Amino acid sequence: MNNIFALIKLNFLSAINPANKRQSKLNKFLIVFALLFLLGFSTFYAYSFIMVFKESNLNNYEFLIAFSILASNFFVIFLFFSSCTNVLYKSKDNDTLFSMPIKKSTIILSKLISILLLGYVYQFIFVVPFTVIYYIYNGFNFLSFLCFLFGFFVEPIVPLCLSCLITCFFSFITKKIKYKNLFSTLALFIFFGLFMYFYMQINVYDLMANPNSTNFINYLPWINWLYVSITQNNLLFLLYNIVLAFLLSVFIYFFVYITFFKLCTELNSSISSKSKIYYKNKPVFVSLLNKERKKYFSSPMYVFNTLFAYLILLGACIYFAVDKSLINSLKEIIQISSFTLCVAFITMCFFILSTANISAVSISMERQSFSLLKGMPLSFSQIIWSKILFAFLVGLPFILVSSIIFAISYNISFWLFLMIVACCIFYNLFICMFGIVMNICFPNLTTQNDTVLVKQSLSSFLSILIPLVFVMIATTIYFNISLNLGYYFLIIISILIVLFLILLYFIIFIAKKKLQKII
Amino acid sequence: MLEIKNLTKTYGTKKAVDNLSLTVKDGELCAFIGKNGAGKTTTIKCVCGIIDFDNGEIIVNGKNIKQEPLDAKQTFAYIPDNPSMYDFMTAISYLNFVCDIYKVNKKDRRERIEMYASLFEIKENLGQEISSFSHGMKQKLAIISALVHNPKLIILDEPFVGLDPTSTHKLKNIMKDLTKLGVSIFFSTHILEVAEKLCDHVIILNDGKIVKQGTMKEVLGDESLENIFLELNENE
Repeated sequence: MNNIFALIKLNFLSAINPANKRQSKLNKFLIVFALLFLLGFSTFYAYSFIMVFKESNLNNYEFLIAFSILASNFFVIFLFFSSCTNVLYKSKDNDTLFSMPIKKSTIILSKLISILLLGYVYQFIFVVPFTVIYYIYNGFNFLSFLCFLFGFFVEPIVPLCLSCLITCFFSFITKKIKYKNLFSTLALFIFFGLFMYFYMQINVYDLMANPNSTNFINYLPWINWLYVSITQNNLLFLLYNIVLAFLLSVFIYFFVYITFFKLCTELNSSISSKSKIYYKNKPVFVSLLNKERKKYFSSPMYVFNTLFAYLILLGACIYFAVDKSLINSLKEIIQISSFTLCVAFITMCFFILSTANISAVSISMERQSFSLLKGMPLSFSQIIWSKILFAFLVGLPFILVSSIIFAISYNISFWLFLMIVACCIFYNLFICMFGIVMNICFPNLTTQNDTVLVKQSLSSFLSILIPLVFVMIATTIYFNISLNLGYYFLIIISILIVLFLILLYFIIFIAKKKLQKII
Repeated sequence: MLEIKNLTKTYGTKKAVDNLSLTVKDGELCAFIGKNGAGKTTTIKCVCGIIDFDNGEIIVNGKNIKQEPLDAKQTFAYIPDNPSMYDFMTAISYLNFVCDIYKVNKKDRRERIEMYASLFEIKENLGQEISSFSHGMKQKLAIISALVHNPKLIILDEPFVGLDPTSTHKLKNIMKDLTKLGVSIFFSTHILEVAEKLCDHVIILNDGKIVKQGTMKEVLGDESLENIFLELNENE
């Protein structure tokens, strides 16, 4: 039992992995701050639904529960799906653990519990504020609270089991495939594309008006059962959830127990596939960009966590271009003007760009080979700008295509289209530069696990969080001060130029010294 | 070729390198030995411009590593103790990448890569991903990547670790041949027999300070390098 706790602790510590004691304190402070901020954000978001209900004279507060459980499940599946392979099968500490006198069951349980604990953090951020707001406006009920309390701990078990099964399935398929990284990435996209498609099937407005309407959540029993148990104080449905979670977790435990060694061995033994031998000269900067491209696409986790957001942007634009009913109904209900639609589109682009920050871990992903790069006759600006430019180029086509689709489908004038594109391009540049600055300030070259770096490292955390504050402020300015759209664009671009200059100053004058210290 | 003057590097309160001065002449094969944690890798990383240092001066081929880092780096090659290369690349794409950085033309890179890859018996593996390589093969690739741009100074940190006996023998021969062509080699090692047989010059480091240095004859006298090394460590 002690071994399990020790291993869980080890897994958690490796997620923070500070370079030194001083940085460790700063890391802890920033992580607590970021968690509090996210909780605040979630509460603000939940409260904004209450505002909408009040304006529309709706009293279906149950929607808050349905929405929060569904959203948290989506993010938890997203997290588990990416963590399972890396934490379970491809973890760098597996060889060491196997050689120690630790039971196989202890290793598996500690890994599964570590993943589950991360799921609780995600769930806490989404579900708790929404439930609190629900109880404030709908009235507190002890039975309902009991269902919520038990449900909170039971709920992520089903997504964990499903993610385990799916990742096992993918691992079995991809183990002998030459381009397994590409295949894994594509499979991840297809899986989440399907999930997003179903997610989009939720008629949010219908659910707001009538929580008992036939909806997507009815097809996901564990979500539906928790929703019904909390909103209708039904202990029987909670029991269903507990039984399902128990049965699935027992099945998954034995399934992983049987397949663990076989998959670990096969996934970590690379098959050597020969490619053509060539001798080609390239300019230094092109060669660096090429290296960035190869590094980026070599990690399905890295690609999935960043490119996925861009695909959502593109997918959403295509979806709303084909099916205009939702936008049109919103136009009628809350009388959205074309200008507001443009601001909404820019906000969506900014949000996506903030969450898909490639440069935030691009130095950390170099790991120990960063020393090799530093030993080469390359200037620091060449290293930094190649990373910034690559991240910028990945986002650029998605922004351009999405803007064109949006402009054509909603008859946006050419002038407005140009302003939207300019805003998004400036923001993309700002995000790429900000990401690299965060990575220079909070590097982590020692963590071998891609998931830990991409999803849980301090640099990626901050480079998502801080720009989101900017997005919130920019949107609040527009909606609360009732700005003219021209002024809105002017303010946004001016702020971005100022931020760009600050970051440029940092990169030119401070980054070199900080980079020199990174080892 | 390499001149280090009063180099000092501290980590917090610990002095990893303490007022170290040394010179490696053109065409000289210099061994850098010391126990674990003596400051060998730190010194090498300072020379290569990988880490910053507190005091002192490092001159490589007449270029100051702090003031003219790119010119200095252009003239030397560095092989780290742990050959952590880009696992996502194939061996050939990694070598092409290195050649691009050091601006080696197409003809020369083809000739040199083919020659060294044949010599170290990894020509057949050039099209494979580095992630599928064993430690020894990675070490061979790191050595080829260091030799491919004809450096004037080669800095190697524990180069024989992971190499099979045949490759170790070949590397020793290459090192000797290169010094005949005027290339200087500065390497750290724990294999004292190799250092004794191979090198013209030896530097013994302990707790960041040089405890003995000079030509191999001067340092050895009538004793073996192993005895001298053990004596110096016991005295400390």
